Amino acid sequence: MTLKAGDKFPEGVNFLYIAYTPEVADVKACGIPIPLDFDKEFGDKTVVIVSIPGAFTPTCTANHIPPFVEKFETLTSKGVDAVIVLSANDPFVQSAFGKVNGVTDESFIFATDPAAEFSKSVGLSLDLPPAFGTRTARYAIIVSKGVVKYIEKDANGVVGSGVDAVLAAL
Amino acid sequence: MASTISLLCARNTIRAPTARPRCRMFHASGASKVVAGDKVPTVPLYGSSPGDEVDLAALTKRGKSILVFVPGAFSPGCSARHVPGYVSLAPIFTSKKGVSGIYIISGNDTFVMNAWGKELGASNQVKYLADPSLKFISALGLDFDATKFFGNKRSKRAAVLVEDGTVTKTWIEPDNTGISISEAKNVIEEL
Repeated sequence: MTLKAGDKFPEGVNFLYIAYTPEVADVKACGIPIPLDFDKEFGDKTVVIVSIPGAFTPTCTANHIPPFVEKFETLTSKGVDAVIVLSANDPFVQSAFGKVNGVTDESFIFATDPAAEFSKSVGLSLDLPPAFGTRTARYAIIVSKGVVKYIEKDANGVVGSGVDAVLAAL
Repeated sequence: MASTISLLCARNTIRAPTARPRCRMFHASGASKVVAGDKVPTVPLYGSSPGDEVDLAALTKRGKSILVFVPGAFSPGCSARHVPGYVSLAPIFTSKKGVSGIYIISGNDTFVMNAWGKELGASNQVKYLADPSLKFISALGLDFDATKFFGNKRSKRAAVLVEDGTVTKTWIEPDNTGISISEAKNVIEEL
């Protein structure tokens, strides 16, 4: 990866997401995807980005994301303003994944890194053809006021990108 | 231009110099839209996992099958109306219209398709298949640029009737994503 702790977070990063509202609470209902302008929304905040290769895949669903959901309050009490779960899946799939994980907080966002563009630009993408394609790797980044405080990528399993490692770094 | 074409088609023109070059010209837009008479592509789809290759051409070689194409799992029309229509009418498709299989196909990966199928109701009669690289979908000319909402190309919404391995009828939504002619309750009337 080309990004490391101490670097400035790249400018102009845009994700896509569907904002949670009670109307679209049912997994089968859906909102409309809108851009998430990272600089504008989080330029002066502390954000944890958790990236997963695929929504609804074994590890991500069973081991990686639920602990972040369980410990969301602990994260916010340590100064985290928002958690963004990122993957290359489209916003409809990400939104459904959030609902299935029981997330209703508007600061816990399930977003899309379209075509894994941002992840690729910092050396954090995975090529898994033919049935999976280019994906975002499993990683976690803490960005505070535009500066990378923590960045860890996991090649196997959930270690540096897990909630406990992130909490320890806060 | 003409010289390039003759160079590309050299082999064919040598064989039949007076006939039109038999080679296909490269179409930037991909295959033309599926019509009655076409065969089901032999391009693999994926079923229960990324390693589970499904040969739909083989599965649909005998009997009547309905292929339902959707732009995306968990997206508005697909989840609320289009696929549920097929799930609830599946028993009628089977018992009254002799359909042996209904296959829901989209450009999502297998994990997403399986999770979606669980939410909507998979069964012996309704199977969810993934075409993540869109090879199968574009072989039938059903792909369109859905970058704005999906980030890539996706399938138009459509229903295709296959009988003994050959396409016999198609219902392709004219605006790609609307739900009208390809809705289950319309298709079942026309079988």
